[in-house]
Amino acid sequence: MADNEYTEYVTAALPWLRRTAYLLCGDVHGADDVVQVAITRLYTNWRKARAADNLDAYVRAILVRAFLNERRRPWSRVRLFDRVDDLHTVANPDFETREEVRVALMRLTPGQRAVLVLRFLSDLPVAEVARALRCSEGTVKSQTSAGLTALRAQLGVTQ
Amino acid sequence: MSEEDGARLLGPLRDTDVPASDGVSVARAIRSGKRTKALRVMAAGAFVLIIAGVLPLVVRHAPDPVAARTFDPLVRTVSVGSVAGFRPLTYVTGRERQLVLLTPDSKSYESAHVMVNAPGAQGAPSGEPMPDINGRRALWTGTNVAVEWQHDAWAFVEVQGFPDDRDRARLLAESLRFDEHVQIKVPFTVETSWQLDGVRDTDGIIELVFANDVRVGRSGVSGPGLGRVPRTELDALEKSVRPADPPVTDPLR
Repeated sequence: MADNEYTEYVTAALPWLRRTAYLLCGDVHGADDVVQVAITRLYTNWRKARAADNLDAYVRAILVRAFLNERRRPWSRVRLFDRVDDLHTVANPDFETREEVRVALMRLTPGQRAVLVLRFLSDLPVAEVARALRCSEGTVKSQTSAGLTALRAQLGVTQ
Repeated sequence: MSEEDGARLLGPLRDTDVPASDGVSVARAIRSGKRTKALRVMAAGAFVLIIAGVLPLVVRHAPDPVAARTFDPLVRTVSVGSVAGFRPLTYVTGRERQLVLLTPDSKSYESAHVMVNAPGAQGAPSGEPMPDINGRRALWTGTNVAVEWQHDAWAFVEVQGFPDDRDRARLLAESLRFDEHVQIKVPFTVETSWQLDGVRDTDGIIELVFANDVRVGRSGVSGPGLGRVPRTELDALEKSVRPADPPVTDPLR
């Protein structure tokens, strides 16, 4: 029964899990790896997760920590996880803009990237981002400011 | 820096579509999670016995609780045509399912994939009836097409990014073949005791996929299992890769 509940929840959550991971990782293979690790951890902690006040927030925190943990492993940085899908060039201004922003985001530190993705693409308040990242709200605010400054520099945006 | 700055700078990414892939498996997460739980229980039990002075013990891994699987991971049984604005890019075999990832002729962000489940691997989907495809029962499941390619075995075709996704999904479904029996030839061999779960072939670049979520190819190891496998085992696997010319049908030494 617990397996059925887990499967049902994860199947429904996979689109937003993969999207969040893709925004964090920048390539679909890295994103899938992070999601696979996260849903495996979720399975081993399913009883605790099910009892959480906000299951989605609980799972999002697992996902982001899986992403940050993978980035801390020295061999993953060398072999696999710093791969970013190439900047595609197509005759579509909207698509080109999106690719520019995506590649610029990948050049930020993993911590800054996580804060920006959670705040501005997952629309989470500062307090919830702090809980997901296990840091203070002040750290989230300073990482946000530093991340936006770096993103502006990458994009060549002056205002 | 204001909230508005962040929302404006990152706004273009709000419409990001994630390309299709085969990389996430709920069934695999359950299998790995069960193994982890079993090991935790064994570790706790061993600790108790150590305290009680009852060692030595013979410790064995818990058996894999996976249900029967029917595909041979070294044989590709499925193919899909180059139709509907797509061509097949990656074929992935597996014991429970086989997958085909397609790339759009437009080289833009549209995506399509075909997932073919082994008999019994997934129950019948719910959806709207549609005319049979090549004599097989078919359903619309949203914009996807589901085809019962064998009794109690379903294939799913999904297309994203076009205004006429459903029409393109149907065309792809009509081009499916389920009796290819292509023996995969691998241009390298490896030495390992790990269980082979499948083979990923992307335009001729071959990777072996193991049941512990580690992949290995000519260029090295990858996969979500990296973090759970000791570094020494990964290094040993990587070092065991030997070119095979001509390619072989049994890559495990």
